[in-house]
Amino acid sequence: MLTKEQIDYLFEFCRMKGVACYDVQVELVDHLANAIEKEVAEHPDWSFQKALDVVFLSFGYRNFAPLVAEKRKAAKMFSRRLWWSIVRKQLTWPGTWVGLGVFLLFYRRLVIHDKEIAFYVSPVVGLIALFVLVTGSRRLKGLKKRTGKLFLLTNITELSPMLNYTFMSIWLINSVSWKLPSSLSILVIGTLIFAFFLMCLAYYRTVKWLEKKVEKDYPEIFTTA
Amino acid sequence: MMNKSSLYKGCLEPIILQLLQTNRRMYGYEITQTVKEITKGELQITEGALYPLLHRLEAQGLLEAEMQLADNRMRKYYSLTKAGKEKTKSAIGELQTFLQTLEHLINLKLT
Repeated sequence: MLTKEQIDYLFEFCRMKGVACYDVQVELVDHLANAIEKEVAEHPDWSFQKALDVVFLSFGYRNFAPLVAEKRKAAKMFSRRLWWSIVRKQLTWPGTWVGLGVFLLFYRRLVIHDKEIAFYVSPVVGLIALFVLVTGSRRLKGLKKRTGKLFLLTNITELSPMLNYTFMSIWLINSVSWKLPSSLSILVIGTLIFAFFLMCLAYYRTVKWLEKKVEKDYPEIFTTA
Repeated sequence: MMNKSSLYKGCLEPIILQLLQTNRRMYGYEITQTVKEITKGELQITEGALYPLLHRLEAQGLLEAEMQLADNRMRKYYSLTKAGKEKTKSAIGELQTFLQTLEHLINLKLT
């Protein structure tokens, strides 16, 4: 069995070979350690370094960058799936649908009785989007502060354009709503804002889920940090 | 001469799914060694092929991962999800059909 110093060296080795994220390092270190232990058992005269060189050659890479690139793609796919599954879970009767109905009635009142209030819909929605994105990002940065480590799993920046696109659609339709028949603009904007709130909530829940997963999977770095 | 690994390449996913079906949960290195052992060294899964595939299957929700302390380091164990178990059935079925077709084609050429 490898010593703690040798395991630490393997973490350093992964960093030197282009693996900055702890969640990727952990799996690679275990693989390297298993393979080195096997090599050393089969060739007792081999040093740790010699075994590591042989094991690393078997990867067929000059560094781990291609492996990290593949993992990054998979992590993006994972967070998108997670986010969508949370969005879908929120679409349950009666809460969200009643919410949509109440919103439509409320918005109808705004449009019909006080168009000036409706004018503030876009900025308010925009501020909410910004708040959610900034809060989510700060939580994930807090994770890095607490542990001193980066995690590929928590890199969910690709989710923010989805909020931005929805906000842009709301802004666009709201700004031309006076040209549209009132019932149509209420329906379209109401549905978009409803979708937008679902997305914001799901984004925040995704951040919390990922945070909890990191805490559960890597408790050792939270106790020693 | 045809490269053996390119022949096996398309079969890697059902092979890994089937292994996880049989062994309940496994970690990356264990998978490479088990395949090597079962095939008597005929098929050796490279790390460069294995890990991207495991990560993709996990991202697709077919595998779930669990971290556990083993010796003096953390180890990532993979197991099939419910969707993964269903996918295994269909993937193995497709592979068997493919092998039958291949066998049929080869026999046809020989006769």
